[in-house]
Amino acid sequence: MTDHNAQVHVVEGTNHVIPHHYENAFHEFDASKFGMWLFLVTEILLFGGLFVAYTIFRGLYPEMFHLAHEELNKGLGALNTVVLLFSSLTMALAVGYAQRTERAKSFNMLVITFLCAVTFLVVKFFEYRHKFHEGLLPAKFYTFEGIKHDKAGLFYSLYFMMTGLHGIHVLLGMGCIGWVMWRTKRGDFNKNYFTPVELTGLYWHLVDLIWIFLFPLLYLIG
Amino acid sequence: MSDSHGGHQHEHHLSPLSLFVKIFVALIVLTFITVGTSMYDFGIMNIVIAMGIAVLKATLVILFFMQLKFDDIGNKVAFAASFVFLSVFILLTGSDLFFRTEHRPVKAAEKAAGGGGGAPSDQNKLRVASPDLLAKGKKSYDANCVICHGPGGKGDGPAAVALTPKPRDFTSGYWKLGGSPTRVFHTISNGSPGTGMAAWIQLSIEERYALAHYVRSISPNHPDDTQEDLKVAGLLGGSAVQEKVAQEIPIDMAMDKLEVPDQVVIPAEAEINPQSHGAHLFKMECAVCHGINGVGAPVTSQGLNPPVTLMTKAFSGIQAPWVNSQGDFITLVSQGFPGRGMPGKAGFSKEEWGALHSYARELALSK
Ligand code: HEC
Ligand code: HEC
Repeated sequence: MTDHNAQVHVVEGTNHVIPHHYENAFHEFDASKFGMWLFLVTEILLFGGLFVAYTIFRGLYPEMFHLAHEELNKGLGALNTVVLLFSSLTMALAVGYAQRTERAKSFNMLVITFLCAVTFLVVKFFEYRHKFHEGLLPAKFYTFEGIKHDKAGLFYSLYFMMTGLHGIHVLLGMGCIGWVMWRTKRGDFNKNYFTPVELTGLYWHLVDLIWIFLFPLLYLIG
Repeated sequence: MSDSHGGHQHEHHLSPLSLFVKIFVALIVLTFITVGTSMYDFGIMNIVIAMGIAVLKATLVILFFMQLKFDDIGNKVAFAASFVFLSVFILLTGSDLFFRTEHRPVKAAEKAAGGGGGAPSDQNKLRVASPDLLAKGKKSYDANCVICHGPGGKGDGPAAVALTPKPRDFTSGYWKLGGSPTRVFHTISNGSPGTGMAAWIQLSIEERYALAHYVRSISPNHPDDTQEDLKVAGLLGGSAVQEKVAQEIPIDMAMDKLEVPDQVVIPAEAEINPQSHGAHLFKMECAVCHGINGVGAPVTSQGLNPPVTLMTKAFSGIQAPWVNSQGDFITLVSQGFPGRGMPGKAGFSKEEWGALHSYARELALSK
């Protein structure tokens, strides 16, 4: 075993210094990744509260959910689903290339992922704009005339809370992807050290994962 | 992590990149299937299919895109645990919401749950207090009701602080839903909807009567059952006899009258007449809070600090005592509901009371 008190450990081929409390690069990688998984657990539970609220109100007002969901645009929802799934693919590829020290390819994949995120938000923007225009808004702001149910605002409270919180996650994900792009460009990562790419990947897949549930619950079977 | 130095000497798992493309194709196909099936109506199966596909897609993403399949056991357990807790969260809340015993008006004559004293004739016995019943009632009261209504029935149990409206203080003599044995029995069986007073349907009929007698014995005000009470409770068939039915009604005679036990006879409903005098009075005096048709409206109670806005409920239907008793109606409206935003309104003439009662009654029965 190396004497880690005596010298600073730098991961081979990078500038990354392994903090002294880790035994080696693998140890650091495992610990960081475990931390990320724990964070993802809390994310699932954060959205979990909203899913429970959804379950309850859907159980109480099934006909209202049915009427209200018909105002959502299935086509745009499906488009966004495909966009996010594709971005998950490119993210997975970005990690794969980073693991193989193929920096240029990894960078390109990150760029595509980022552009998918932008596309997602642009589509979401048009959807939201339409909802604002029609008065399909949460609770007391709800003014739409077309649905004959006095609780329809509730559906839109859930819709905006769930997709809004998800949208914030997309934004944060874009921040992380941008940062990882920059560091990839700078040549920070290679097959021995790519932890930030890996963790950003995990986070981005979670964003996709949540959308996989939001899409059918809100757009398809409301 | 397996090596004896506790070191972390392993290779990073490298999945072939073609695997990701395959997974992506599978995800897209599943997306098209789920969108496709949502165009058709399979009833309950729609949600089953959609959620099944979503779970499948999620599993693919987790196992392959997130590479959990090749990950450390610790990470697997941690992530799986979040779904376990999530399902506990959803299932427990859902079971509470959807499988809680439904609020269902129980007629006293119903051969209901809990066994014991099902038949109306038995109920006519139970309707009369006895030392034995009172003792049973006290025992059950101490076990079930003290927490809210307090040991002396003063509505000052430990849980009372948290409740609005407050549990009834039985020593006050006030009954919102009627104080006769069948009324109190009805309250205990059905609860007071929208308040902390639950329906104690799980107790046997005998125990509920025992409780009714016991809480009545605490109250300084314990009226007997009237003809209408019995009729509403389904303990009397046929149309009303004028004189008050005292509790000493011979059991045999009651049994004779009980050929058709569960039939509540409601006098033929009158049409709601918006031109009537009663309608006019209602519009002037009551509609601000109860809505034009008694369906409920927001009320701001200024007497409370801070002022609260609450919603009156639609008038309860036939089971409310005031519907069939003008006396109860007058008492209720002239006393109001202290603390709940219903001011006492007296000062009507006899005819006006009559008109107002019949109009409010029509509203209550019209649903
Ligand atoms: C969780 C607290 C709670 C428990 C336990 C409880 N009550 Fe109540 N009870 C209330 C509240 C609150 C009210 C007032 C309801 C209202 O104002 O409509 C009330 C009102 C009543 C009334 C009065 C109805 C009227 O017409 O004025 C009766 C009778 C009564 N309870 C009986 C019982 C009996 C018998 C038990 C035990 C089996 C019991 N309660 C247990 C909270 C409770
Ligand atoms: C300031 C508001 C207000 C006014 C005015 C008012 N009420 Fe009420 N009333 C209430 C509230 C609050 C309740 C409590 C029950 C509830 O939450 O629905 C109530 C309850 C009642 C009930 C019992 C409801 C039931 O379901 O059994 C009757 C009957 C009633 N009111 C009749 C009248 C009549 C008749 C008038 C007109 C003379 C009147 N009220 C005027 C606020 C009001």
